Amino acid sequence: MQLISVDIGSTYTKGALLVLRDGQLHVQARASVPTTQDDLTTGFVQVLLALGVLEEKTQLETLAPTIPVYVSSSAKGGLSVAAVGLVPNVTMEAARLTALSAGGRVSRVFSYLLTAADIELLEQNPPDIILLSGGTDGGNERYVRQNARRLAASTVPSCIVYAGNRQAAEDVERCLRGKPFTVTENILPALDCLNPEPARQVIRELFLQRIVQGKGLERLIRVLRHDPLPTPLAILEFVKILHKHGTDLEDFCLVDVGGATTDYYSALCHPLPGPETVYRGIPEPRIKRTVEGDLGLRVSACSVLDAAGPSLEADVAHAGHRMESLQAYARHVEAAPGHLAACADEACYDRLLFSTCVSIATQRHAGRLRSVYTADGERHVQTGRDLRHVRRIVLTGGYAAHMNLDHCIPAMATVPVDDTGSSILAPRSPVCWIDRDHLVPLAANVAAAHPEAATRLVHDNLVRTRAATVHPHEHPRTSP
Amino acid sequence: MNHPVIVLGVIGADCHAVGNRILDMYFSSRSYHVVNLGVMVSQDEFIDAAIETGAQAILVSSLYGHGEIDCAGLRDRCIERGLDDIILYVGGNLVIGKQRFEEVAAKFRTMGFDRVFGPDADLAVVDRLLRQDIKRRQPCS
Ligand code: B12
Repeated sequence: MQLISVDIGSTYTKGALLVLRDGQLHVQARASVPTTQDDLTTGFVQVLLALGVLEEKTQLETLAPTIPVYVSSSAKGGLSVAAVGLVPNVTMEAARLTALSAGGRVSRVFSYLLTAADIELLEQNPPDIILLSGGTDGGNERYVRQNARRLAASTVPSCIVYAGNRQAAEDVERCLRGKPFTVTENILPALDCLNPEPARQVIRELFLQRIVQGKGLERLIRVLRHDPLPTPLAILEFVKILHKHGTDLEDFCLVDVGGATTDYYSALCHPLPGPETVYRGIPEPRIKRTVEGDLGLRVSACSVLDAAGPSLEADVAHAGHRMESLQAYARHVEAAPGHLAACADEACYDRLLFSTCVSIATQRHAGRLRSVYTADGERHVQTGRDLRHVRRIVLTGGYAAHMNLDHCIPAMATVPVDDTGSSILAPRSPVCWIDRDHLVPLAANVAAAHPEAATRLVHDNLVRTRAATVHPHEHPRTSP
Repeated sequence: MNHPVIVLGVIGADCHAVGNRILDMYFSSRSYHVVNLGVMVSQDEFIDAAIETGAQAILVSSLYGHGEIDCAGLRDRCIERGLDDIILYVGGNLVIGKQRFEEVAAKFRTMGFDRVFGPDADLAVVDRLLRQDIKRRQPCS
């Protein structure tokens, strides 16, 4: 049985013709063309032509109905979401996590009451969605009501998703009548219970409506027998599947370093610590996604260098280069995001930027552990997730696939403590594996239908790198 | 009136867990909606929880002898963060050495606690007082 999987990215539209035989997926053909921004179907058709499943000039509509087509799209870099919560550490954080787990790009976060200035920001730069939350069920109603009233009185055109205190839902709905609006279940019905799924579903549907609008995708949908998926959501769902079906992938991280952002996913069997450690904050989900908007290899290359710690200078020197040359390269590629490394030096700069993105994103994704000295001795307080035992980091993305593996990727050092003195719960001695043929997004598309085969496909394509992230205090650096 | 919402927790670096469990079980059985934060709870965590859950009262426990330091400023912080009229109770081992309970209780009341209890507090009495206090603070609408 043949299947087609296509991922319409912001720069490239990539596709594969897959064959499912004896429960295994094989890649029969691959194709990649620049994404055609004004009409996405043009690039899509080009990919199908290159895959040999469409004959020249024939219409999309004549595509053999026997071949299922799975499509994902990260149109416009994903859906922008403004997350509104009540207390910063509680519902605001829950709203942020929910938006990210739905594949959204969090453009802004707000807590307590929306001020006139906040509303003005939203009016001038409206996100696609405003996720309005606040209050556990039966809890605080005052803030969400007020915020709903302020949004109602504004000219903000964004679609508002209400996922706050259930008791206030009807009032909020009445108040926002006339605006694009959806009510769903509370993302935090009780303090110790995170419930992102219903809001995630709503955001996903809105995303679909939105990527379908214009750009020719309506036509595509008529031909497809499956709804297109937002790429980050497809990958998040795939991480869940890898977690369930993959060998050695019970607890792992998956990092997608792109031109503009670094998307970080992790799957953990037991995200909460045992009784010996006190846990603080809203409960960690098993599967988590975070997005670093300032870490990327092209559009965000300069901000990567701003965020880098002092260890980068040592890596640069070790690679036989000067910091100034790397900075000049970053400025160059930021201005010319289509640039591909043209010589060995540039390839090395890309590797340095890449490893910096991975190490910083790892540190930000990981939780923190701090010691509290009590009369009874030392106690540990944890916030966020503990990745220390994680052995595998999967690196995916077009850039990762093109990294020359004959050269060592600079060590991805993570620092052991942050500025506040808390330990960073990053993987202690992981091994990085590269998704060599960049199959993750394509396999993700078919994973819901063929979970085990998609897992195998990606698994067999992972190549172990010589680079290991190291915790300098635990593993002294050795030269490559 | 709906079930009153109360926030429980043991403040500071205190990890005496048993009394906290008992308070949780007792007040839950008396049809309060109990939001229990467990041990080693900071002032802000009490306040965060009270804001989000719309709690009427915070019941702070301190067992290990540092209650006075840990509780100082809690009332001010509540007011600062918008909990103008939340009820604050404190209880546990607040008396150290040869102090008299009445002196200690007066000190905690000056710090802004509405009521102060010792380790031998009768929880049925606490329940009765708490209901009275909550009723008194209900806005007359
Ligand atoms: C068990 C215990 C421990 C265990 C705790 C295990 C655990 N995780 O729970 C361990 C060994 C870890 C421990 C450690 C310490 N402990 Co200790 N511990 C005790 C002990 C023996 C029993 C506590 C208990 O569980 N009581 C049973 C429960 C049901 O009672 P309760 O906690 O008092 O709670 C009730 C009331 O106080 C009241 N109440 C409590 N909070 C509130 C709040 C409100 C609003 C109201 C209305 C009522 C209320 O209602 C509760 C339910 O009935 C007591 C002595 C004692 N007999 O009380 C010492 C005691 C509490 N510990 C004490 C001390 C000093 C310590 C340590 C500092 C060091 C040490 N010397 O051992 C450390 C501190 C650790 C820390 N960071 O918190 C002292 C405290 C002295 C003081 N406050 O002046 C005590 C009193 C012993 C003593 N006489 O010296 N301890």
